Amino acid sequence: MNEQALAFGESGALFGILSLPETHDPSRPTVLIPNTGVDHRIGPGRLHVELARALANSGYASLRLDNAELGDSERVPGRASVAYAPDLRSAMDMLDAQTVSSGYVIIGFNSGAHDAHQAARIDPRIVGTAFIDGYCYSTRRSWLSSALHQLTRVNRHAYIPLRPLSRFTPQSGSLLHGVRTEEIRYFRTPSRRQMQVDVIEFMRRELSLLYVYTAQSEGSYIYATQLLDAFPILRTYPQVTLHHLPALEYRYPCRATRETIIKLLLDWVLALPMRAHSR
Amino acid sequence: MPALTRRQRRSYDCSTSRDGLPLATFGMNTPLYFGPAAQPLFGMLHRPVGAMRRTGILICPSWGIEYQRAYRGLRQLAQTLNHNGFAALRFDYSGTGDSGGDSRLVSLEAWLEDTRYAARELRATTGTEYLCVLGLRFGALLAQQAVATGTVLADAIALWDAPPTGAVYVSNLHYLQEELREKMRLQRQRRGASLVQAPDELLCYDWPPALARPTAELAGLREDIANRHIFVSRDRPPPERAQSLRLPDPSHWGDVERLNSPWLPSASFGVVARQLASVLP
Repeated sequence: MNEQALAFGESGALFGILSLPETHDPSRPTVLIPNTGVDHRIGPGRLHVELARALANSGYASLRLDNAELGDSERVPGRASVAYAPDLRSAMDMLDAQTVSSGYVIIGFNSGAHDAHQAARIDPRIVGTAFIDGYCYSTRRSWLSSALHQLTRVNRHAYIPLRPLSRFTPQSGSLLHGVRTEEIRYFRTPSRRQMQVDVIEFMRRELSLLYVYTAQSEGSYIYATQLLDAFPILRTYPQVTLHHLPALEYRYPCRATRETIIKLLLDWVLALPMRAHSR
Repeated sequence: MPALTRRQRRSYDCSTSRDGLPLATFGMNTPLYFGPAAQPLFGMLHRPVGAMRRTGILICPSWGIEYQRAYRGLRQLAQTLNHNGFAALRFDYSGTGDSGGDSRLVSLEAWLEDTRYAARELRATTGTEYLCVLGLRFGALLAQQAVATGTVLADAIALWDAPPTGAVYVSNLHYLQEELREKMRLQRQRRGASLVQAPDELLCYDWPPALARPTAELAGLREDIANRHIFVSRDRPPPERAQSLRLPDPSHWGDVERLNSPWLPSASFGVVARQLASVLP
């Protein structure tokens, strides 16, 4: 395994670390790992580093990147709004130019899952996407379950709404230190209708999809098959994998948690259909 | 552990194109790998655009969750130092950040050695005559130890929010850990599960005995170092011997609600850089 620091994107404003296996096979897809929240490219508890090195030891190249204005990346010249999908596309352009791989897999945690979804919508080079604690959509059952839970709680004054209208990065703007309000990146969960359209598009393109919900989504993702109930069309799709791991807390990761998440992701990447590899 | 040879250094040095991949030098920041060949250390060198001062600043980051919070902030500090003519090197200790190594196997002794490698790299790549080691929190304790033991030969030390002693620092970390555990217990509405960490983990990061024990024994401000001390803080009164610099921004290191909030005291960066520029060549 070896690691290289790379500058890419407009004016080389973006920065990332490419981990390459000892014997690199360019026919395999490269894994892209965007930022989780405002943590720089190493991820919470160095999760991204350990994941990238585990991937390299299993023969897969990966790029841990800093989105614009995070970590060691600069503001991208000429870009008015904050959108990270273009950063992922810039990373793919750079790797394509160097024929590092053909096809890409994005693994996104939390805000990174949002970035992954937005990139997958627009870029056909992506052959698989893992969303860890990405978008949550309520169902009748999840709503009833939450309502019942709230009613039966002894301590009800600390009510937390089922799902905030928008999620943003970092998670608590009021607690930021010296950061101006306009610097906080908000992102909105797509409407249910838009998500349905996106899912159909992913299926049409035969993307491998992994959805993982951990304790991080506790208030929003209530039961194991909630995603499938919210989007029943996914039930017919063989390339979707869904894990509900309510006991796992990746934001405050113990080593055991990190190892569990990494193993799960590694197993998923290794099981990606060969079709993806040959693109 | 053998250091990188010139040839190996070139293969890790990101300013040199490797395998046809693009150069990673952007602006005046150059990422580089240095130190032991088996576990290269990652650093980011910031060079001033114009004339460079004769003093280079080595920035020693804090540990664990504080390192993570302060990453972008220390980058901003390095750039502010650049604007004041200083070359600055940020780096990750072995087993942390982008550096090589397993985080379970880190030790204070190895990190002191890493600091020596980083100081040597800064001098070698910039040619600066003088060295100022600037440490944040845990990095301040480490920097002082490195200078006191002669591991690093520095002309000045800047201690930013330095804990009174290693024991106090470790005790505060354990206190924060308990606060976090309680916070998570309250958040985990449904199952009431709480944070369970192994004995050699602390605040989500590996905290092996080879790091924990000697850290708890680190001294506070040492009187036995002849170098120029610059004590940087808003909340703590400076020790008598040290030159003090009062910061405009509060630090919030002990606030569990801010464990994941970036540390970006922009006004303080300017104050510190200007002060260093006024006293260092």
